[in-house]
Amino acid sequence: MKTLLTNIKELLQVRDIATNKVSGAEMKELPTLKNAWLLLENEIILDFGEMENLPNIEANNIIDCTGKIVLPTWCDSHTHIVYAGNREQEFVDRINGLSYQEIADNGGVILNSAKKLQQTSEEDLFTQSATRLMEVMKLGTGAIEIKSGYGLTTEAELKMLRVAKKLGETFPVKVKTTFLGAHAVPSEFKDDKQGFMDYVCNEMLPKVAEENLADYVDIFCEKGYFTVEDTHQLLS
Amino acid sequence: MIPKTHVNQFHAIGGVKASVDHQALSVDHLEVITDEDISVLKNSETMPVALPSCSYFLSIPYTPGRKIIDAGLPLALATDYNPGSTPSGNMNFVVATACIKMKLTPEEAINAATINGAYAMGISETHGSITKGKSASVIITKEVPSYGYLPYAFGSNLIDMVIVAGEVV
Repeated sequence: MKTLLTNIKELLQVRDIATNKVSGAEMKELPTLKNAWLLLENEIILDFGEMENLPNIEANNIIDCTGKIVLPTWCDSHTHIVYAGNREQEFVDRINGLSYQEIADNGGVILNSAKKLQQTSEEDLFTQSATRLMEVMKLGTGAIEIKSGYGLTTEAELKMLRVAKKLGETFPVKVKTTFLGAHAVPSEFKDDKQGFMDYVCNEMLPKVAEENLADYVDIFCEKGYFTVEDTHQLLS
Repeated sequence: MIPKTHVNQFHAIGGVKASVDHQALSVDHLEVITDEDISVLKNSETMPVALPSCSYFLSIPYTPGRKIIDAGLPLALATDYNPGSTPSGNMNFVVATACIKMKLTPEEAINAATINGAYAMGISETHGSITKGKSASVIITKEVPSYGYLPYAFGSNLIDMVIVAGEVV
């Protein structure tokens, strides 16, 4: 199926395939075509150009983009959209004067999300997360990275990653998954962080790899969470 | 598995160097960044990623994107959508906030949220630009005066249609 976009006021981010990132002063340059057309065939971009050179194209759909700008969808490379419930109460606590650190010290923040997630079924987690994914697609996100990290047990981490993978199989958006087992130290390990790191590295990570559930691995390297040494242990 | 790490959200403790030592694809957050971190990144293929909606929601400092780009580094933008520190997945708001609070130009912010975002998640070959053979994933805006209007009119819904992998969503 071919879709032709015509009369595009400005087509943004027109690049050759060789450019995979832009750095420093190059970032000020945004290559565009004015008064352009764009031809899509099924899942790919087939061709584009300026309206004055529009060839004779037989398209199934023609979308007139007069006055409108067309750009590639957003690539959101860092999210945690697979989660259960919400943390509106912490939001109100912060309005009333508590800091993020103080809420964390009271057992809130990540541990709060982990507790809810462990109690939520895989089906329910998928439904809640799919609602968020559909919302961001409508806001222009065409690719999204999704992290685990609210599981904190092997089973719950695998559940999160399975849901993330299934989202990618269910919706047209491109999904990449990241294993973030080392997001926070669960209360069972609060006096034994090394024990938790060993659990993440020797127990969780091999299972995630065995089920081929994650493209990437992540750690929250921060005072009060995980150290540089923990980071080396996980990434080695 | 290739690393993509959370570093320097509240403190610079050496996480950037540790991540680069392990050839991380990206280092994310960087609200606090030292000159040493910047020089480590300059000798790497690692993408720095800023999450301005998180700074907005928590009222913490914004990643010094201007300093990072002016040092010759690339920068990507992402949402950090999560229930605690960023209950929002709106990349349009991220792009606007990067311009308003981090002093990125509209061109820089759009590059950071498309081509550099694709790099930060390892999908440069298929996403992030209008290129023959890449994914048929595009945003069609409403009628607007220019692309700079997109971050300028922050909070307005300026999207008319979104096509993801050839499907209208």
